[in-house]
Amino acid sequence: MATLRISVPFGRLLTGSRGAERVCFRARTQPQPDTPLQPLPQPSAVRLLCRWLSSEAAESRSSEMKKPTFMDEEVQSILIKMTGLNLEKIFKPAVQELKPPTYKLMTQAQLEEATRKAIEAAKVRLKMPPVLEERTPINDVLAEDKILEGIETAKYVFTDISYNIPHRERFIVVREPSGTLRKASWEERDRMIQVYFPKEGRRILPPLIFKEENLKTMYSRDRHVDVLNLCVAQFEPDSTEYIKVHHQTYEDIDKHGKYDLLRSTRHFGGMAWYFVNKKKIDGLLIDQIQRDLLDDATSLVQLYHMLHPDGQSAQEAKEQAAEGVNLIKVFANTEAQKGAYIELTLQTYQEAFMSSHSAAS
Amino acid sequence: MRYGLRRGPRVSHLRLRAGARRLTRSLAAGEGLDAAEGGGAARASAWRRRCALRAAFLRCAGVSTGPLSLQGTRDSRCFTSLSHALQTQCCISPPTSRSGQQYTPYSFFTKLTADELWKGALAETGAGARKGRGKRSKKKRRKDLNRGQVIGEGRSGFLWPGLNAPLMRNGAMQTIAQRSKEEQEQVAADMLQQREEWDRNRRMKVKRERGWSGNTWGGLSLGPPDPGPNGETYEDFDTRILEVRNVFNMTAKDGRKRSVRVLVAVGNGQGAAGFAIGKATERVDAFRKAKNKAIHYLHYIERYEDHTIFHDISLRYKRTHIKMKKQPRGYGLRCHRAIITICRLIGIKDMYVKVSGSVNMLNLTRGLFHGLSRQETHQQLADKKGLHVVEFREECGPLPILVASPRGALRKDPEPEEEVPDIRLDWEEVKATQGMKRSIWSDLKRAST
Repeated sequence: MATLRISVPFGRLLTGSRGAERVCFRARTQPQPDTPLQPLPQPSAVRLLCRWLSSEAAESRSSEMKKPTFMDEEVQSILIKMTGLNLEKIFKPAVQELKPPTYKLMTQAQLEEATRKAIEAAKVRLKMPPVLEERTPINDVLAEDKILEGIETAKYVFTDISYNIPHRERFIVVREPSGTLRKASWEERDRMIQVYFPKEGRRILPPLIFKEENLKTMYSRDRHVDVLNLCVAQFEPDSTEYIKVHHQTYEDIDKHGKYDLLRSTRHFGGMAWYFVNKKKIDGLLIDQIQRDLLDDATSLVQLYHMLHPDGQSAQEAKEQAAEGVNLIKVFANTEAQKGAYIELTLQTYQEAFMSSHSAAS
Repeated sequence: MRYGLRRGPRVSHLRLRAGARRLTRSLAAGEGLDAAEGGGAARASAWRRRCALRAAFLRCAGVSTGPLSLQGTRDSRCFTSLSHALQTQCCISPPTSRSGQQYTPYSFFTKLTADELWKGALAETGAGARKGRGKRSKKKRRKDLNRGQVIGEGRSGFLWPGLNAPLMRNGAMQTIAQRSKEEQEQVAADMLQQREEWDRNRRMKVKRERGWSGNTWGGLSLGPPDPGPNGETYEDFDTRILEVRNVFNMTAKDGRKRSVRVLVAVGNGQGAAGFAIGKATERVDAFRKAKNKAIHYLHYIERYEDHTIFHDISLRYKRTHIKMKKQPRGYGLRCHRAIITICRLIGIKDMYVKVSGSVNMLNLTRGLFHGLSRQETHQQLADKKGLHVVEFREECGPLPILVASPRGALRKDPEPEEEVPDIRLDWEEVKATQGMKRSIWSDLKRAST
């Protein structure tokens, strides 16, 4: 019986580390209520099982710590640092009805105060949109009523429009002309929710700008930021189109080396995360070194090592305990595709640095 | 005058038409010969005359060395023999076949020069022309009636080598020939058509550029001012007329004496502009005087980012109230048409100006320049107050843009800010903001800039 009881939480062991801990605890405590009827059922076996479970949990815990998510504080801090804070670019004049500007006479302290407030507003604007896994399609059929077949010629969509339900938990079902009652697919759900609860900036049908040729035109005009903003407004973060458009944009940026377009925008973090996951950080590294952003380059390599600790460069870096420029050199030597380019840019940067130093002194 | 002969020789024959179209006819002996053609009785004498004329002609032609060109080197000596021959030999007799138009070879019109005749016909001087009594529709235009005349061309269509036919052909001297009747008719018809075309072109009205509206001189450009005596040119300056007015003065001798007064503004579009008035009896002279005077009275007007003023200005100059408002890029000039012209010359592209009270053009211009010259730039304001001048734009969010810092000391204590600002409100503006203004002219869509 104990085994029976343990088997239920055993199945849930693979879901998460927290769950494993709880399971472990429950596995120890569960046999106790049964004691009046029977003697303790092999506590050693239970203890062994517990230890195995805890070790499993520990392993999964450590493996999970080795695999950081997008929302981890460390990762976020690195990405925010890399994004930069160029106030002129963040508060670029928006295309809107213009009004004449107002002027204020300020002391130095007031000016600094105003700048600080602007920086805070900028940080709010730079909040990164979430990076999620692609959602699994819904294929749930609720009822099959053959009696209704052929009566209607169109599909009927029934949406629950009660106000205080989160959109993710809303019931939206579709009655097909063939009589089947099924849950609406993700696209249908998004459309219906936009019809009844319109969100600003989102259209019911996706705009034509997301077609291939139009996207290409936008890329050729260096308007990647506008594309990404529209995408964030239109699609849910875990929808296929959202992920596809984002990946396409990142690929185009990588192909042409236009990393600076996204710097000081809220999409830079997502782009860096994508490149690190795909192990394609060479172009970004070169761009950062060329713009004299060595700290950003080192933090990018650190992030890479955080995400791929089993790789060659991570191991070597840990052995050498490399810091700063050496870290980048280690990466360039081991896992980079364009290692030669990275080293060359590093060399030119260091030469320029030395010459500027000597000129200064 | 092409030939060495007098414009209205007494020998020349004329044909009187409606309106005295031709005062002189060509010297062509063709007339005399024409006269001779028709009459049968005088044929013998005509023949004799013709031979004599021909002889005189050939002698004349033979006198000069080398081939005579049709156009030039018509020495009067050459033709004196011919004219003498004509004078003595030709008898002035009208053709028997009347072509329907009166033809008087010797009359009042042949006794005077063209200038004298035209002076009489046009009547430019006289009591009617003085004191502005002349009507615009009664003004006649002088026409050169000798235009298109070739010595040698006549009604009978003789071809005189050297005059209306080439003198030499393949090295051989040509003889006097005559065109056929059809050819002559064709030539006459061509000439008529050509004359009518000239008349039509003369009557066509030259299109004058339109200023603020048709028939007004405001807004028209006079081009750059004339170069100065020391060689300075003002090619980048453009002048625009603001007002043209006929003013009168009572004199002792002539009574009402008319004079034209012109107000003109010049500017180069980069901040340098000025205005002046010029007065003269003739309009053209007044334009010139004003233009050249204005270039000596230039103001330099500071502009913010080369498209608008630094701050709102409201002033009263004599009885003209002007309220100028700073506007962002793309707003255009929404002002009085004269102010639009002046702002274009200065280089201001976006501004709103409301003019109330008197709209006297001179006072308006003077008030405008007065107000614009006394603007306070951001740098001057910063220096005066000893504080940073910071700009906040709606489209840029909360970003503070530092526009000017004081060059001297920076003050530590902030500017005192009251809850209720101590400014004088304008009732018209308050009505507009509160929505109490019921005017059909507000928010009217006008032409851009």
